[in-house]
Amino acid sequence: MRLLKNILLFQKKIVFTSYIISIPIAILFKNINVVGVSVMFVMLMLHFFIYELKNQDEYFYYYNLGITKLQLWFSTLFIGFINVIIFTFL
Amino acid sequence: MRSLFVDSITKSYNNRVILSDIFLSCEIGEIKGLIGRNGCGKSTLLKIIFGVEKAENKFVRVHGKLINNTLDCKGLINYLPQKHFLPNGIKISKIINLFLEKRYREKLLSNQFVKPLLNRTSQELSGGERRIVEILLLIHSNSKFILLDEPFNGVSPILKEYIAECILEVSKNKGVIITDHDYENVLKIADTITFLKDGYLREIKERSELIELGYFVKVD
Repeated sequence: MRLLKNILLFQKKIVFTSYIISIPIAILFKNINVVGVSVMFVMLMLHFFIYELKNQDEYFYYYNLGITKLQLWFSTLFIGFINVIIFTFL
Repeated sequence: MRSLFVDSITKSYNNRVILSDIFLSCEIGEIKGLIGRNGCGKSTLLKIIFGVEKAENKFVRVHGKLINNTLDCKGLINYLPQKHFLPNGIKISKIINLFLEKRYREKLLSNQFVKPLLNRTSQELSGGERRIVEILLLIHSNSKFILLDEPFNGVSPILKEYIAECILEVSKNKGVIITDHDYENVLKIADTITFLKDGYLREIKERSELIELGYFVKVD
């Protein structure tokens, strides 16, 4: 449970910002289904810019909990994919 | 079986050998000091042990378990990097609650140096305040071994003394490998000292060896 909470902590910054960027895009395209794909794409981009380029050292917090970089990337993909499914069938 | 065992670590950068067939071991209850000049490979060695840096050859074992990556280190090895690692924008109290198991939290939440910082985010802390929170987080965790890379860096003399006391206290139940350029503090708390130079580790047995290496000035 503690590990899951820490993965959510990692994802918090990414997910919120992805929605802030993706909702105006959906309004622009006048299509709510776009949100899912947009969120997934923006999440991957933000993950890369925030954690791989800007705050690379934050990874050590997660390493010390036994969470690997691969698992964190997988969690981003997973949450993004869930968003795609939800917004495709909405 | 209560030991961290490191053997055959070899690492080179651009054909320059940084670490050559390194052997190191640390028992629970022991503080091992690692000293050496800038760029001699101390941090690289700790990162290889922790599994975040690749090596041409490595063998790391804790309690009979082979360590290949950070996932294998869970509950066994924690690593304090040189740079700050606390997540940005999160309150210290939340970080403590998320990082530590319930039974270890209370001690840290009531710590005299941490208590005033609980409602501030990591970004609002000074470098020294961040460092003390990071060190205390790691030493209060349930891991059996801690690798400390420059724990005294950017910390005031009072906090340095406190950190040294904490490391001594925690070493009763953990094994500690520590490296820092503030070698006087390292020498003060370490049970054994190893010196890294030209890719080779050498155990320091006498203070006179440190004088030869230039760490102390000989007074006649």
